[in-house]
Amino acid sequence: MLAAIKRGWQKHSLRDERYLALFDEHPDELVSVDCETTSLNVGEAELLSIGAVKIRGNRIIASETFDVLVRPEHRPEAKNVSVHGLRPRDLSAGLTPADAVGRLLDFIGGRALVGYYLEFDVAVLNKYVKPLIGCTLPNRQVELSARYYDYKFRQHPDSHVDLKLQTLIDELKVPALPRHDAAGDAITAAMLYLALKQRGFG
Amino acid sequence: MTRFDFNHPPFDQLEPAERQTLEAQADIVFFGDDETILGPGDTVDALWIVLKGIVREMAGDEVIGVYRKDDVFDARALVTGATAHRFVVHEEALLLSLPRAALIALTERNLRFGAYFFASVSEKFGVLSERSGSRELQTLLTATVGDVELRTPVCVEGSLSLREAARTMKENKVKSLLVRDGERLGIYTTTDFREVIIEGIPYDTPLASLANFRLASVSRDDFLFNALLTMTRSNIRRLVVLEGGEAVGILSQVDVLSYFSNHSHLIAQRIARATTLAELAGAARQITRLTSILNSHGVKPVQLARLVQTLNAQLFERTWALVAPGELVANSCLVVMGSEGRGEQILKTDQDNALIIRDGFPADGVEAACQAFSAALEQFGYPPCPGGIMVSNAAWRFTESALAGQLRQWTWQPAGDALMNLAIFVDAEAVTGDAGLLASAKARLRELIADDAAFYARFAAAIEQFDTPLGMFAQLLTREADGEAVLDLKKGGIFPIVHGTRALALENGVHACNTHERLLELARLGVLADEMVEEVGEALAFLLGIKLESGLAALEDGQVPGNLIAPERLSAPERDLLKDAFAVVKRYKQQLRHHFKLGSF
Repeated sequence: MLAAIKRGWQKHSLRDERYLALFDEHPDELVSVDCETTSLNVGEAELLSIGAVKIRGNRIIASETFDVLVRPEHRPEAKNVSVHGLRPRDLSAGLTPADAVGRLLDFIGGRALVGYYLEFDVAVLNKYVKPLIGCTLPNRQVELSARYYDYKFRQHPDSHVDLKLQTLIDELKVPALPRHDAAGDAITAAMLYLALKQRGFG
Repeated sequence: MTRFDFNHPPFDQLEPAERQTLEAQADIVFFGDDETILGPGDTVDALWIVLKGIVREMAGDEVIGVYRKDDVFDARALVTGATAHRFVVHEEALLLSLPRAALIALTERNLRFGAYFFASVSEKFGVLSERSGSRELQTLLTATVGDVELRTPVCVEGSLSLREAARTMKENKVKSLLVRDGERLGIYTTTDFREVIIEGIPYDTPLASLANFRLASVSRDDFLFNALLTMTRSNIRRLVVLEGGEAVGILSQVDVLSYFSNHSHLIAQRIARATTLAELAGAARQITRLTSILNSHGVKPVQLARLVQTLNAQLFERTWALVAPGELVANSCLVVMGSEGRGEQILKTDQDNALIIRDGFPADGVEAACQAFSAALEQFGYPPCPGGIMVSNAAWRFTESALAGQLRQWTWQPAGDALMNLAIFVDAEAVTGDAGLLASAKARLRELIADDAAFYARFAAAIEQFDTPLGMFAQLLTREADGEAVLDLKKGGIFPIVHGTRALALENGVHACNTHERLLELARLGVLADEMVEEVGEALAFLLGIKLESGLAALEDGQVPGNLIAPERLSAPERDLLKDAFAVVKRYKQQLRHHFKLGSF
């Protein structure tokens, strides 16, 4: 109910009709999204790269992976460079944040979003989405850590559930990809989603 | 850099850019337990790589293949566009789906990659050996005579005098001359001058009267290995190299030996000169060492086996000469049988020998010689045959007439022991003594079965004795938990090929004992299709190779080489080929079943 009201408000705020498609939930496709950012603080975080991949039924459409680098307005913090491996020089060829997010919205369309701690990614994205289209991302969100918690809680109601990404990867027996980038993490998230879906928690 | 690991066959044949192109078109697909990925009637629009999980390939209810991480399926289906098998998820699987169109495009650009998909199985084996060949030293056994730097022959007329000949040799710094005498071609070497001096032959004698015209020759395209065999067999040091019937060079023993760090020839000489069993034991140990070295140099097991067979035959001959009185040697025929007879025993696994004695030859002393022979072989490292198939066992020493009676008895009801004994005897090769004794026994056998069509079916039926080899892969699924799953190469693959071919050879009067030679002969007679012969031959060579590898490893650990291998210890491409080899065995068995109408028993 609340969600419906929220979506109504979002639709009302939408300034650009081209993005009406975001409100039309796709019947059987989702999009797994992951962003690399300059900081883990939403307030100061700037986008460095965005990866996304569509999930159609049991298939991850890796052949149409969305994978763009973003040129940030400020230099990335040194400590984060070591995490995402994106040096300032790698990013100089990137798109402007507005351009990158615009393309991402076209890619996502009405598909529900899938991600691991998606809330953070969506919050960072919204910093750019709102000025662009007038409202925040209206798409339904599938939070993997929450689904995983439900799955584990069903198995062992009393135990502590470890929600570290590596734990999900190990427990759900998803192969580790050698490359740590936004697109790769989006694919990993998509694989985690399919594994959870198989267990009835999609 | 690609996101996924493409460092396994066939993708390791791709250039980095090609891998990236391919990956960019790949999707990831998730399947739950027991879901069918691909089945009969489905359009094959992709090749699948297992990223995680286990997939089983089913023919009806039978598991005929298991695919794990980095395994690829199904190349054959991709090419033909359809499959008769069902690929079912055994354990929750994540697969990479590579679109057919992209792969076909790559196969056209990258021929080595394309070979994996379009080549028949036998060619696929070739790709693997080529890959290992590029790493490993090329040795002479894979080289041809033409690869050796040949000495250009100095050719002279037979009318040339001895003195002129000596001068020509000195001028040209050669130790041999080719002598042309009309149509004949001969050779005259520096060694021959010894006779000239000893016999006081006048120096103006024409060469033609002294040259040796019984020349052993070898074709320029022939394997160096064959040249070495010829030298070893005939105990000569030089061969004339022919190309298009013309002498183009002389290949000397030294040339070959300089190629050959392992000196098989020296082993042969050591055997020939041995005067005690202890000396022979030393030579026998050298054979095993040679095997190991040549194998590590990438010499193919088929060629290796033939070389070992030649050396072994000399070893046996010499041993027999040392332990048996000359009269006995002349009036009997020592034969090797089974894998030794076929030239397929690379490591010493069995004695498998017998003695045929001329009718009427006195029996005294035979027993003692035979006991000494078997004991000597045991000392050389040949384990006593568990079935007692060796001359020390009275049951394997026959007079001619006793053998004829035995053969009649075996052919009467070819089942169980009689069948196995018969099969072993069919592969008999004479080692020393009167080979005619064996030849007439074999002729007797052919007479016995000539008009007995049912015999062949009963004989061939033994191929059904062991489980169909592909089924053994099912064990990999279940036996993993309680330790390492093992596969019996002999029961699973080698025996059906060898015995099936043996049955066909017997039926079609093929005299050769070696399985590869039998197959070629059967192809020539039109009994088997060329393609089948090639595939079966390659599959056998591959299985023997795997067996040799594991046998050498066992010897290194101080264990007895056997037929069991742990597929898990094989490399991924080897496992892949093992599956292919077993698939060939299965097809071969089906054809044999049909040929001998085995279903009707």
